[in-house]
Amino acid sequence: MQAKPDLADDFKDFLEESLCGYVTTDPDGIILQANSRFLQWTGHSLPEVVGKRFSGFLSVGGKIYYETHLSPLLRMQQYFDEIALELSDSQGQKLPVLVNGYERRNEEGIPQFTRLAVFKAADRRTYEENLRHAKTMAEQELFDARQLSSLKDQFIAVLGHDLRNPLGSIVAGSSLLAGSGLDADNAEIVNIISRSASRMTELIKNIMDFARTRLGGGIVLERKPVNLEPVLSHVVNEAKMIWPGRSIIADLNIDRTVDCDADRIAQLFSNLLTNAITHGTPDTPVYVHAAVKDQFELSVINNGVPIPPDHIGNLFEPFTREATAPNQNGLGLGLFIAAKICRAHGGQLSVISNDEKTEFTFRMACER
Amino acid sequence: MNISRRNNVVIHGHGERVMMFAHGFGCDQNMWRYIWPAFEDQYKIVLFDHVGAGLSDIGAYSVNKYDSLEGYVDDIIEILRELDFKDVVFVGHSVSALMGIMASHKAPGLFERLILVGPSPSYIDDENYTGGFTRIQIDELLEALDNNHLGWSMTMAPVIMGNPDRKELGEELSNSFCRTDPAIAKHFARTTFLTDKRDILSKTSTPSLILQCSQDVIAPVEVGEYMHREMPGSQLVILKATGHCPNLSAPVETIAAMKSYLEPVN
Repeated sequence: MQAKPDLADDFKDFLEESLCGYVTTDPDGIILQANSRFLQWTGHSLPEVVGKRFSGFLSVGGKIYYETHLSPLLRMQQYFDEIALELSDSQGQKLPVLVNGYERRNEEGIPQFTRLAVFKAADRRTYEENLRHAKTMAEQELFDARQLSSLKDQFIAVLGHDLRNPLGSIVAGSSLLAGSGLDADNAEIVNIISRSASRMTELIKNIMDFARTRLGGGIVLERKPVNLEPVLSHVVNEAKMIWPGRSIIADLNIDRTVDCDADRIAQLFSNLLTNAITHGTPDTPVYVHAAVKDQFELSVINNGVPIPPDHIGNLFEPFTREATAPNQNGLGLGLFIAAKICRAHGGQLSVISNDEKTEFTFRMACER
Repeated sequence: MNISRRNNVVIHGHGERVMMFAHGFGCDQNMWRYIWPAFEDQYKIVLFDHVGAGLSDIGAYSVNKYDSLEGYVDDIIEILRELDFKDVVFVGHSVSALMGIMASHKAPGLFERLILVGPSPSYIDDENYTGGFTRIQIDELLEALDNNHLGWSMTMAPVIMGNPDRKELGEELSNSFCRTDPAIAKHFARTTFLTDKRDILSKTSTPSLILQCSQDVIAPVEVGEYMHREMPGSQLVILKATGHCPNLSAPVETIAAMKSYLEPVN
């Protein structure tokens, strides 16, 4: 008959050769017994550890933590769980570990000894450190990005503002010159100055609005019922002045008032018109239709190369035009601002673009 | 500011005289649980938690105020002044023992005697002074604190729960001791282990008892002997107890030493 394997011996071997360190201390924390794994990790022999304090085999932080917190905890609640500590070996090398502790007491509740199970946690520590590192980096990047973004917004706001004042002088000066009886050549020069200044005024307005929306202020409206026909015609006339070579055919058919911010609608229209003129084929006209039916509807149509389908989606995002037509002048803010004005009015801005035509249509309710 | 709530002040006993217990780093007022009942017949017992520990009001924590021990010292004085207690027997453990010495300078007459359990005026070795830790070790500690190397976040779980909808949290809390907010524990460690108050010892006039454990890695015997030499009117008792918390590991011996100091047999 085969001898039964001795379970008790096997269990003893299991504890001794375990992948965990096992330590028994007296109630004061002085080591009475330790298994071979613990001795291997600390680089000591059994006689070297017996009679020493368990905390003496920890890094200095762990030693303080053990004596001031864990040791009291054992006495008060009899256990502690999953404490991250570091074993410090005879060479000063540190091994990250997790420790569970339990205080054995007799029937009268008198502490007899403390059992400590020590688990190696080096991989876990690396993982935790990577996590912490990643978190710190992400926080720093977010902080940097926010700072940079805020700096940009401020830059744009300040720039827009500072450009306005000198431009005011140019506009006023060229207006005075125009009325001072110049000869034809000089009058044309003044005309060019004046047109460029108007165009620039619009660009600056867009920059400022862009900065404002980015800074969180949004576009503020001053709405009141207004007849938009003279407002739109003024924009058409201005455009004709700025681009005298271009044909703009406007069909403005407005017979009732629209509750809106007239200046903003003029800006929206001007942006759509400028977009059509700069992107349309130069020798073809730009068509404008405005009408009030159930709602106010304004369309601007040009011929030319259609907008690539994959650009339609981000057409109303800032600075996207450079990608499609790098040689066009302007900042690519026109459609972005137009969309913001549209949204502030609760309207819709849609676009159709094919080989025949590119048509932007703005619609909004006449009343709030 | 409600001082009593801030420091979770708890009062027991009916005696004429007052005995205040101040817990040290890493613990809370629970660490006195085996000691104060022995004195409640003759003393009014004042227990409290330092801000950041136990059931104190974490909201009252200020990095500025508690960047030096003075912040904690002011709290101790405020607690006793609000209760209108004077001639108090102050029992302080570890770093709080030092706070008691500091408070006796700041508020003369507040304390009648000081009982200092495992005290230390400075933890770092110096020329002709053994503090228990080398400068390198303390630097290592500070670095470990910075790198969050210690497992403090695990055990020092959230203290502040105050969520009436989740009773199980409250129950868990009542079964747990020495809880500390991890960020505060780190700051307290820094404040504690960088403090050097050796210069005030010789100017201390309040009589004191130094209870020194015979094997303490936080405050070795040399520290207790140094304090006894420096402090006029001090008595030194070296306990048989080992470790840093004789109030927990050897309450009987601790109580006996305290009693024979307070009520000497004539």
